[in-house]
Amino acid sequence: MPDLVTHLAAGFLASRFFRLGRFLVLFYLGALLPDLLSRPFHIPFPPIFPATQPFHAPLVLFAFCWLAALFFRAEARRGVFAALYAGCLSHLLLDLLQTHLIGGYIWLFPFSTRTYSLGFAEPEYFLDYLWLTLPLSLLAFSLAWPGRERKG
Amino acid sequence: MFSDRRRGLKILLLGLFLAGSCVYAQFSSRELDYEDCLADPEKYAGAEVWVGRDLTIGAVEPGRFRVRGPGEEFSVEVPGGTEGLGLRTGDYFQAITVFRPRDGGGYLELREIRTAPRRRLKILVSVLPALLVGLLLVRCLRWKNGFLAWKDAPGEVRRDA
Repeated sequence: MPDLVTHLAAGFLASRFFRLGRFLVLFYLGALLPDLLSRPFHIPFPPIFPATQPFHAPLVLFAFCWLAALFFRAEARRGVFAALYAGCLSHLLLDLLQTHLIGGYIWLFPFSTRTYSLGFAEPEYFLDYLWLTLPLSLLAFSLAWPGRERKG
Repeated sequence: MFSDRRRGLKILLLGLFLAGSCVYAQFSSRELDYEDCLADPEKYAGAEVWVGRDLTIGAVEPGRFRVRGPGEEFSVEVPGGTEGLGLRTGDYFQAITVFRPRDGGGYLELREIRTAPRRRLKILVSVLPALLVGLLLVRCLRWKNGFLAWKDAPGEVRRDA
């Protein structure tokens, strides 16, 4: 995975192409979600790594975003789902660029556990661009602060 | 899909699907590991074993290095020697090894390794965006009457009045 600063910055840039309004924060959450659902569990306890991998599969994330949307009021659910899932897809696309010596991401899970990656960059490569991604992440945060999205 | 009709059932089924996915993945996409090989050394002679899922490098010696992880520690033999591989104690890594049986047990022989000396930094900087988005969620959303809603949602204000 690239670091979450890169994911948030990429999510911020991608969000500029959509009119997300109040759903912006959920798009950002989606851009971090696959790692938030997996890394805090398998990094301290490596044996459960396989169990966390479905959270980098589009179909499983679809189910998770649908589930999350059901906790909102009915009139907001479609927008919540779309923002969360679009954010998740931005995350998966960025992850797909990476190179792995072992494994990759199980994109076709649960139909297949074969792993895929395009192999363009090392996982730590994106740290070289923190000078750019960190300010973009802070800008993303400030623009999503309540009240700002309607002024912008 | 998004209506209130059978909402409880949808939540239950989606929850079961997600839990089932985790359980299924744990067993179906599990990779061969050193313990599997030691349990039946002859069967796994020459088998490729991936090492390094969230494991770190322990002590580095001229012909081998130790692998450390929660509850496990073992050695990987390096035929050409460890010098020049850039191995550093404490670094995360990924390696492709081959299992070789020996004296009723066996050992792992390194074929290829890639270290990740900046992975700790990556994990550390990743905490900040998680906190920022968490703060935004707390500022924007609230839990009311069994649903999540925006704090400034017009409908919510009318209901509160």
